[in-house]
Amino acid sequence: MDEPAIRRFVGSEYPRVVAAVAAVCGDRAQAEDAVQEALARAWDRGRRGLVVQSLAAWVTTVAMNHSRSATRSALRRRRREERIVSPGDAVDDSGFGVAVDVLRAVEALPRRQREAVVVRYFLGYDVPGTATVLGVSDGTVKTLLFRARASLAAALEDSVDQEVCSDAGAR
Amino acid sequence: MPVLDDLVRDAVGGLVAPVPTDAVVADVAARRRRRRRTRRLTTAGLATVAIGLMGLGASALDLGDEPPEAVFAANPDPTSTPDPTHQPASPPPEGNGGFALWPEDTPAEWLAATDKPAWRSDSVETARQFAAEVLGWTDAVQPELVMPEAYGRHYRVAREPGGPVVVVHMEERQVCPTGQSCPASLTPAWSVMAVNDEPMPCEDPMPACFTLDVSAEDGAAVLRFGMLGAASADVEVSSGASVRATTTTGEVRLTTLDRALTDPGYVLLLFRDAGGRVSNAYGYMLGPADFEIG
Repeated sequence: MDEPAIRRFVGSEYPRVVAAVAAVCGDRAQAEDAVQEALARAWDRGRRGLVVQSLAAWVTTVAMNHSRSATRSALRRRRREERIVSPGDAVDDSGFGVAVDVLRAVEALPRRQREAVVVRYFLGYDVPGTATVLGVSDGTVKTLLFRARASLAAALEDSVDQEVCSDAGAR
Repeated sequence: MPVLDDLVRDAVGGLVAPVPTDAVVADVAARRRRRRRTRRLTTAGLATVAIGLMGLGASALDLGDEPPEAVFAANPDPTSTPDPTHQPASPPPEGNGGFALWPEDTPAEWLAATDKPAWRSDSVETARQFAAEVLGWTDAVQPELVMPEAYGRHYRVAREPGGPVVVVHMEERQVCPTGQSCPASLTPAWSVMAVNDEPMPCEDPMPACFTLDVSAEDGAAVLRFGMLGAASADVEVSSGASVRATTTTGEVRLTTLDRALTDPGYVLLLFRDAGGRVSNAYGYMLGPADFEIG
């Protein structure tokens, strides 16, 4: 791992990995902190002769692990207010409201389910790949996804019902 | 909900924001420099230590490379078997200071070992031999290939069915005399590059992650690490010469050596249970850069 490789990653996959970690930890600054820390480790390990076969997968794993901690970097403190979905966010009707609902529903999932959903559905890993990134078995991934989908479906149906009721009331 | 996948993809995709590449790379580089400063302290201590190890004779244990295998592929198939036509997904990195962990840990030793046993041509058998000779796992179960897409071969080896497990990272090594064609006796052979308990990267501050801190304190190299529930741990640091110690606390102070470390080396930890059997192992290869002192 050298600077050109790091630069290529930052220029291509970095934003998606940050978004994925942010969706899991609920804090963009924390996600950036975690991903940058993971990149620094990958870079340092490369110098020491380690091969990182899939930088995106490795960084995702390490960043998600890192973000679980309560580590507070200066970056995180400075930008803590930039939570990706604040409880008071208004749901508009431009289409982004659905995304907010989905993010809230994802955020409400247990941590492992959240990670499985983001890695599988957003980052697009297959089940074995998701298992590798999360460090669990294929079966565990399937179970996590099954439970997550059920929770998400219920949460989003509730959300839709509320919007329908709200619209009906307005009329 | 047939479109749930798409909803998640779109919603999380909304979090994707462009970033200034130069600024991010600069931030990452700054983090790396901080990490290197910390590591230099370690190295300084290790250098001292390794030097002090001189006179103790060459180590019987040979290790290499890195801790939790940073090498892993995104879509491994744990059930797959070694493919004779397997090609490395990427070449070995440049600047790898160490040659190998075992059986020969330097090019000179490799060249001297002209009569390599037949099992050196078989990665599974080499992994099994490593488990038997270094870990003392003479009844280890059949090594299982993991991370087939990663460079080299990674085998999960269990001491016995249901027993402790380590992952052994193997590579096919070769070195030939400079300026000469490689003699038939020096055909590529499998060597152990690293040993860990898991193939997945596991980074602090995960409580379950193994951590090893090395620092220079009062002219000595001090290694601190989690004992992982072991009763004791054998510690070996090598760089041209080796020094060993045993700890029951996870802290080892190695005496100062009287010369700077310039040779590639390694750190090997063998964790033992109350019965004295190896229950876990970590092998880290240290390159020359690791011994640079600020």
